[in-house]
Amino acid sequence: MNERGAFGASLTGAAPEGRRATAAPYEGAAEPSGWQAVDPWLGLSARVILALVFIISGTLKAAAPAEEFALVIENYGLLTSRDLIMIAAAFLPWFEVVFGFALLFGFLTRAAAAAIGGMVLVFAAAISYTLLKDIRLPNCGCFGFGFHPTPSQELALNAAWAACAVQAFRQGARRLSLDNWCRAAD
Amino acid sequence: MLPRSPFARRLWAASAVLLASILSVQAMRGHQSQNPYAPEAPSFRQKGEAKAPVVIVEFSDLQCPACRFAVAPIKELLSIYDRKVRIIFKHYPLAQHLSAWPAAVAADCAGRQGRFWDLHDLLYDKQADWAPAPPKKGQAKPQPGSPQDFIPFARRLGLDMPAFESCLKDPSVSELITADQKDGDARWVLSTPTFFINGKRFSGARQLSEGGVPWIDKILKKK
Repeated sequence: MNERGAFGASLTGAAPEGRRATAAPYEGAAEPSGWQAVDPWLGLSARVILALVFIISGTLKAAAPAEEFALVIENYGLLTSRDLIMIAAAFLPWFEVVFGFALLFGFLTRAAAAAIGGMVLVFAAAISYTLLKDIRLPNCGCFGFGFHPTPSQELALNAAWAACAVQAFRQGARRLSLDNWCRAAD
Repeated sequence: MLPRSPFARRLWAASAVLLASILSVQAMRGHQSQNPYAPEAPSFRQKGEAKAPVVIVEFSDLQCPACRFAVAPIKELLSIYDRKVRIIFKHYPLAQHLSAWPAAVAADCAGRQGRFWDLHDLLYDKQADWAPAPPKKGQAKPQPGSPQDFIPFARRLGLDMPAFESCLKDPSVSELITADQKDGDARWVLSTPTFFINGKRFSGARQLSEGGVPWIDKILKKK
């Protein structure tokens, strides 16, 4: 098998020719059937959906001036220090983008899924706080400045993202991942 | 060509993730207009010395409640720094504020009679009287406002009413507002009020109140 073939095989989790793949998921096991066969593809779908959501929402915010996102964070009333707000506004969107791409490419897949799951929980807690305190947000800041879901819609979306994060974490780097490629090295 | 050791592959993978992140953000930034920024505005929308070392450009929407809260901090800055500060007001009427555009037209028409700031202050002060409240669930959307709605305010200021009313129909007034909006878009103005103090952005009254004075002090120390 040429190098390109080995690269493709290692991405999908299959053992590269002539060497032992330590991460081949079903090595030595019987051919999976039914749910077992579908489950890894569900994990991959969850991974891709969640990754794209975070890449898009993070990119929209990271590309815009940090002061605009700082204004959104201010409106939540959770942070009071101006410096902390500016730091969060400058870095949070970049975390979303980087972890989003890590999840999409399947690099440090479980860590990326856990980090994104953590962010989803923090966002849900922040939205719940505004509902409890009756704070009316002109813009939740979730998807930059294009799409403004209501707080209850945003909570429902967060529940869906959390489910995707759990599924992506559970499945790890089984299919189409750079993690498999890294593990398949000499 | 491809790295063979696990460590080298991890480095490649990490680089791919970082590169993709940077490229996607840069692509999004490039998608926005990068037109040169022109802080010019008609003289009636400017306050302060023409050669003041500090120039504050305000993008504001007369119907926006948050902009109303920025009036006091701006006045405070002007009183603290007196001749060292010039303020330039630019209209940025938001689409969801149905009376913001006609209010901007009316304010500029007052400006043609040298009374822009008087109508500006009056409209913010009486915002609740002319700006429809956002509709509650099940309520019908409010009707878009018209420049004629502001005739009573102009009368209250004692403006030349025939000149004011004919100005309301002048398309060149709207053209100036459109130019302001384009200017704001070129500078990524996404919310109102947004201020630029010698180019540095402050979004909202709070950022202006907390960060404006230290930033102006820093500029003046350098000059």
